Amino acid sequence: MENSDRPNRALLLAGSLLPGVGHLLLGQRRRGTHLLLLAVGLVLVLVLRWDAFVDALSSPRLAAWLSARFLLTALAATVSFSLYDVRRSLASHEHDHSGRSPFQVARRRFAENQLAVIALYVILLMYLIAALAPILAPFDPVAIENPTETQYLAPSWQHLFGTDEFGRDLFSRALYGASVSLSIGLLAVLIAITIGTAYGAVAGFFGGLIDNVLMRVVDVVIAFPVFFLMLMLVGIFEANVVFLIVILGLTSWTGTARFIRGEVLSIKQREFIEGASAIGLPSRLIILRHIIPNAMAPVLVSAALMVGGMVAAEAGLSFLGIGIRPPTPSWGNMISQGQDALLVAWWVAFFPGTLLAITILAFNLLADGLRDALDPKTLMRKFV
Amino acid sequence: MFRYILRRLLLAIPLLLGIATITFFVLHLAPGDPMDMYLEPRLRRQMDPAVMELIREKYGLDQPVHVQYVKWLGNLATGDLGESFRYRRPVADLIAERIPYTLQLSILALLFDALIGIALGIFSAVKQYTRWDKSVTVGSLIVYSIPGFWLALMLVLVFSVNLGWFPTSQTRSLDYELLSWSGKVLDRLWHLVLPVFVLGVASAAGTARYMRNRLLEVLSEEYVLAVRARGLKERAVVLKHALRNALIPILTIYGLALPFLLGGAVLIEKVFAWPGMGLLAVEAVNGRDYPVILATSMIAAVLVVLGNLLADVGYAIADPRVSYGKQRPA
Repeated sequence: MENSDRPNRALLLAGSLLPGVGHLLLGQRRRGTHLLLLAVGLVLVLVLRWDAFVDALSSPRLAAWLSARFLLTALAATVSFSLYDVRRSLASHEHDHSGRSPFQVARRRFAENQLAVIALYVILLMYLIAALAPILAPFDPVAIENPTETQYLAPSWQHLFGTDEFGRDLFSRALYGASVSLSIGLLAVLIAITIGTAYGAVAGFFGGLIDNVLMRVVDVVIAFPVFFLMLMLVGIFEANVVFLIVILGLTSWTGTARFIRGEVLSIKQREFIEGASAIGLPSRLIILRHIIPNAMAPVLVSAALMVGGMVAAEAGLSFLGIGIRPPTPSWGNMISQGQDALLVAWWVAFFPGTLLAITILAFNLLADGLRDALDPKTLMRKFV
Repeated sequence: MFRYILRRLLLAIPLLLGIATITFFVLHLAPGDPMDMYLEPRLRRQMDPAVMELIREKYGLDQPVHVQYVKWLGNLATGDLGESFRYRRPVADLIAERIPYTLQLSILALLFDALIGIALGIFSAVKQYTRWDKSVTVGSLIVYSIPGFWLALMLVLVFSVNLGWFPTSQTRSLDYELLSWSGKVLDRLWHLVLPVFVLGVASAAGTARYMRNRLLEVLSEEYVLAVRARGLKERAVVLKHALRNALIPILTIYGLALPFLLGGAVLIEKVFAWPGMGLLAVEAVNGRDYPVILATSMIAAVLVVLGNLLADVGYAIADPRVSYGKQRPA
């Protein structure tokens, strides 16, 4: 291809003005539309909720303060990524990508699974909304103004999800609830995965007595009805959000530990590990550099499944009045509130539950897609 | 066979001991004095310290933790679960009252799960890649993802509040005592419909997905090809030859599903005001009723271990390839 500066400059300019346009001009329609949509969405939020944004910028409340900064950062990141990416594709225009890494293969296969891709977008959108909740929410989620006038209003344009017994706007509460429920899910899984991976890797790598002892402990914890354990722990320690996350994480690592151990046992047999220990690499480094990265694919799948499970567990605990306590909104305690109001106001329980179900479904679909994309066996199975 | 069961039972003992130990010490890590829950602090101030000491002594709270632990274990071994702070009654009695309700719910849900789940799984596998198969697969994933307690509320809203087909909660009607014998049974069943459906439907969805994949795997094996080559009807191939082998691992899945079923039962019992063990546990946690918390956790753990054991024994009976002598990884 002729190397002329002119179209490149124009592309870069277009790209810097509006992310995604550069990609569209280059013919990368998919990536272009995504970036464009993201940028337009963020700008729309900024324009339509300008007052809330300005308030949030200097808000004394951490969530609002963070959310305003997040919005600006997200915009900046979109613009700069789009610029960087256009420049990169221009530079590598002549190269032919014939070789593919396993990661690229997996990504391509994941992209073929429409449901999983939609699920991924839903999840990203949910997290985006959760992060921007303080800016997006039209009303204060906690403050009670004059409940006699606004109590149990049915869903309308002003109150999309209706109002609750204290006359609070349920749409705003659901947005804030999203940030509570979703961040609990994600962080708890991070804890569980970290512990489980480390634990399983140590057990599998060292084997022998250590393995035996560690795995017997896992047997005990796994035999425990997890929800009872969570109930007991969260209940008697009167957990706040941080503690709830820690407890959910600490009670859910055993599955990961088990199959990481299995993976490690099989990876350990391979020659490259023998090679690594032959050149005198300390076992700590062998585990960290060689074994764990190779065992990561199934961890990713189970992590996606677990986030759904954690969100459900938090909702269940809060529903029982044990997890997140009112007035802080979480989807679970909103549904609990809805049970009391079931006869007069169906919308109180309906909307948070729908969001909850959509979120869990999206994570399950994502996990399905990841499993198919990452597991080389499924591709074979399709044709048998 | 007998030796295998015995062996598994013996192996369950250290497991339960471990669970008991964890439960006990975790509870003792909890902040606050159990006495706070036994008596309101307001009352305690007016009370004679000597009486307080007596109460402490009665519950063994005056002794160091390790002594309490050993005593508690000893009592546990003899079936003595202590006395509830809240009800001032032996915990064993409380649990004996509540556990039939939970078992009723769980066993019926398990049956529902098995019938519907396995049938749908077979159906889906036989119609692989058709529209039917896809709707079962996607539908089951959707059902699987809906939180049971919320589904319960929505069903109550539609079928109890709006249509009036089923009762909203409780285990029986107010006029239960006046009903005839058959009326009583019907009344009970009528109250069981919604809770059992909600509890069973999510796990049925899981079973359907699992069953489909297992059956497809088995159907691609060579002996199935051989059976087909002999000219058997497809119906016989699937139901007589493939199904048996596909069903075996389902047993293990049921063993493993038990903790989730019990966990789900807690929430469903709360929605339907069902006086089972789950509701007892929630009340105990909320009221800091330590002996009851300990007991319900232990019972749940025993049920789970027992469930796993049953699944494994069933597995050993169903699959001749499993040798009883060797210990299978659970």
